[in-house]
Amino acid sequence: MRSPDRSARSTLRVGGLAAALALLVALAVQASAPAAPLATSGATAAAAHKCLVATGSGDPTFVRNFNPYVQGLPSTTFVRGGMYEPLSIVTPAGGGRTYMWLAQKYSWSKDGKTLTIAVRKGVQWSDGKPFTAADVVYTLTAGTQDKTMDISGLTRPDTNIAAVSQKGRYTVVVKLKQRDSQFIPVTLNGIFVVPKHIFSKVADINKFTNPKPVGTGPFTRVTRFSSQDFVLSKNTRYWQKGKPKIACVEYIQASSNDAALLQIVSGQADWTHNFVPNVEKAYIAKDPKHYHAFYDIAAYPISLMFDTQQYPYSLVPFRQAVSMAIDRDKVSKLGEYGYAPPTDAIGLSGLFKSWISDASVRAEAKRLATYNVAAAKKLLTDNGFKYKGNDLLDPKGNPVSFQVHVISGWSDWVASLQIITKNLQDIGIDASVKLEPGWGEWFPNATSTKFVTLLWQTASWASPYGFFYNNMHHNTFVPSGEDAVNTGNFAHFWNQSATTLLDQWKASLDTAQQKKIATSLQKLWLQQLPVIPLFIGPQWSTYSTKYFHCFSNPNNFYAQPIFNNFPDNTVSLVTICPGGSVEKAPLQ
Amino acid sequence: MRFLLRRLGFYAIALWGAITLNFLLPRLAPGSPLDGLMSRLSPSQLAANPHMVDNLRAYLGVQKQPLLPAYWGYLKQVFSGDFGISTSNFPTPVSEIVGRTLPYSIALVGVGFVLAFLLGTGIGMIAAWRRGGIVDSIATPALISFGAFPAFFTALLAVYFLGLKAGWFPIQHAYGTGITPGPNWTYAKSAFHHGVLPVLIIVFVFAGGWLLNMRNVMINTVEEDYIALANAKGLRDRRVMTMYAGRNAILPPLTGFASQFGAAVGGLVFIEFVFSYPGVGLTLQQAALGSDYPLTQALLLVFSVCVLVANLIMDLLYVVLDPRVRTA
Repeated sequence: MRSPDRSARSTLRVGGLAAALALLVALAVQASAPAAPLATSGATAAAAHKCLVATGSGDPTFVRNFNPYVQGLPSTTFVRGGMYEPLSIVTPAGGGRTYMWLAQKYSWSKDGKTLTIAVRKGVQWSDGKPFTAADVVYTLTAGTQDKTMDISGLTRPDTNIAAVSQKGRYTVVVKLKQRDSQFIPVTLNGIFVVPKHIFSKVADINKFTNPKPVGTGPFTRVTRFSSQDFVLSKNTRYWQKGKPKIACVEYIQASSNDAALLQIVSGQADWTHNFVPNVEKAYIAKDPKHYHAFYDIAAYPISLMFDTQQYPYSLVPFRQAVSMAIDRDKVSKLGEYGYAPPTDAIGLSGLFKSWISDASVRAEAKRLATYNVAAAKKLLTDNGFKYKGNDLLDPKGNPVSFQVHVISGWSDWVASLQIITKNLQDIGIDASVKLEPGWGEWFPNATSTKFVTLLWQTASWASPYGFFYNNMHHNTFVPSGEDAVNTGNFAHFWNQSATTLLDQWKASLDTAQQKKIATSLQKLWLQQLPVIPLFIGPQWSTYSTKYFHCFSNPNNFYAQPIFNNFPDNTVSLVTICPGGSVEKAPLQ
Repeated sequence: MRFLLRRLGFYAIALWGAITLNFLLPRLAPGSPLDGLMSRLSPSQLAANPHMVDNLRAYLGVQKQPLLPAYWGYLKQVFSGDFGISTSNFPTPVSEIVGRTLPYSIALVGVGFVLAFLLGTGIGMIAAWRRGGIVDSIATPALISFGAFPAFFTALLAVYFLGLKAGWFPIQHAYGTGITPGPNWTYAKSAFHHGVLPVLIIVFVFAGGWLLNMRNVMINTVEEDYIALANAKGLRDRRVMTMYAGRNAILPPLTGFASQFGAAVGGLVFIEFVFSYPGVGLTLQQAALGSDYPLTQALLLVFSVCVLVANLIMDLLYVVLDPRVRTA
């Protein structure tokens, strides 16, 4: 049985293993040799670092899908903005700017109900076909082909669009039912123009993965796609001469925030949007000449929201007292690492400062957001609340108690809520933080406010109108217990006078008139306080000027600095230029 | 033959149990495929797509059917080899995702686990043969302390010190970002280079267990009479160690190899997560987070089948190695 040749083979096997291991180590050392200097030598690294590299966090392995009507997949990161472009861009960046893009000019009719769009001439789709008004008409009315494609809201029952028609090769006429000051900054801002000759032939848009994208955008060619990275290269037919300035954009996979941090610290990735605690030390200090962060505070406030249909949260003095009982400075400093500044009681100080023009409104907004325990308690007792020992009783005699639910991984919000609940305990409310393990446990209950309270933000629109509309207009109202995710009215609040004022605002095309209405709305807001704004939710951006520069930053704030935030990302993608640059830019 | 038939029967039942568990487990966790998709969208993205939620709900609505019909449909799917469409990557079929990620994991876990087994049992054999010798007093405690740390912790340390600080190894991904996967030398070299650190971690984390296992069995074997006989016959020391003591001592660890395979898959999830390695472990983690039932089910099924197949192979190997089984 034990023949000599078998035993010889077995010793060979053991020897082979040792040899294989030695080979492995040797190869590993050899193979790693050229990788080590990558971090230090500029010239060879820059040649290898041809594309602007962006990374996300917690991305699944990549699956190819460039359908512009799909969002949230890694592959769709640059689809809106990089492949398909907007008609125009209205951004709150840099105090408010407007860029005309695929539309060259807008003109309103005298009655303000007809918008004539002059479509840009000389633009080509990336397959060589000309871009015309027919494509714009198709895009605006695509909802009739499939509801998924209805970005303009044409098929919704509350639509304000009466008709969309083409007049000649380069003119589109949009007829509205009523005058609409929000049509350009809100409705058209979300529009990305798709080619009619491609999309009209798609049988089922929900199952369409758009394998060969054809767009007008700066980066339409998919030159590499794998499970862990993809590259979009320059559209050689792009309509702006000399743009885009960079050859390609690349998006690489990162399984977590930590993995993404490794990628930016090592210089592998240039641009991310993950929150980095203590970013000065964790990132900027690694290469202060090139590594920067822009924590953009031109953003909406994070607010404490109550289900205002439930007692005693329905009582205005209660909400106002809660607002005065919270130490916003401490929340901002300790909970949010000082990156998210505290707000007043309106919450638009970061985004639409110029819209809050009335001095008395400003003073009242400041007063209601100033930490003052005594005033908060007085307001409560003046309005029928009582104290039994240290516990607060509502006017019906029941103790006031609630839990704020938050996802345990959102460490800054957890810390902030611990301060907030401590503050509320100081005025006798039995408030506590309840941690939820993940989105699945938190989200469905949170957005329907089954949890009574919620730390969250309302939708980001390019006009202050949207903020008041979402929180106060009757059209956005969702009954208590129902999911408010479609309208953003998480507090289940509406007000008749606010609805009237908002309708007037919408119908007015005169900015001075709009501002007057805005002031009345702000007064009403402070009287009602539907939600309690606490601190601004900055848009996190970390970027490296080692291989590329001309990023939007506080010195040159030309667009919101987020690479997947349509339509602002379009401006960034054609503005960022190649070559390293030593720069100094503030964080905010 | 009867032995084999009995084992095959057992595997059929085990497979059914695994399939059923794979179906139930994801559904016992809270959340739904829709919540999973929504978690990746910001409030502004949601606001810009008013109909999206309703459309997705309509498309994913199928997932909400009652358990029993869903189970029946699932069984039919499994046996027809159709695993449906991944809800978190809608509308990409599950089979495409599994097909693209599985080879990387097989390479990682296959190479790492086999190397760990060979290294562990090899050193264990030598350590027992020369108890208290150099190998026993250095390698044994070293490998066991490596094994005592959780895999992801060792992985994080290795990434930080060997990857980021020393720059010896790439810290992320399965191949260089500038490389298109394909049958060419650049890709092979890059994939190999990226695989070294994860494989080394698997080897060092798991080798300690095998070492201890082999050493314990071997110590008893060394005392057997037939070893004394082999020595008395004047056979060479190495031949006695490998062919007399080693061959008999390896049977229990070999059985353990198959059962440990399941644990390796668990470790795989962490290691792929740390390295952003585009394999099934990372995919499973993301699919479970996104309540992607079809993808989670398919991946769990792949894992169960792997463990069962590994066991089957071990059973067959047993027949070869241990003559007593053949007559039973």
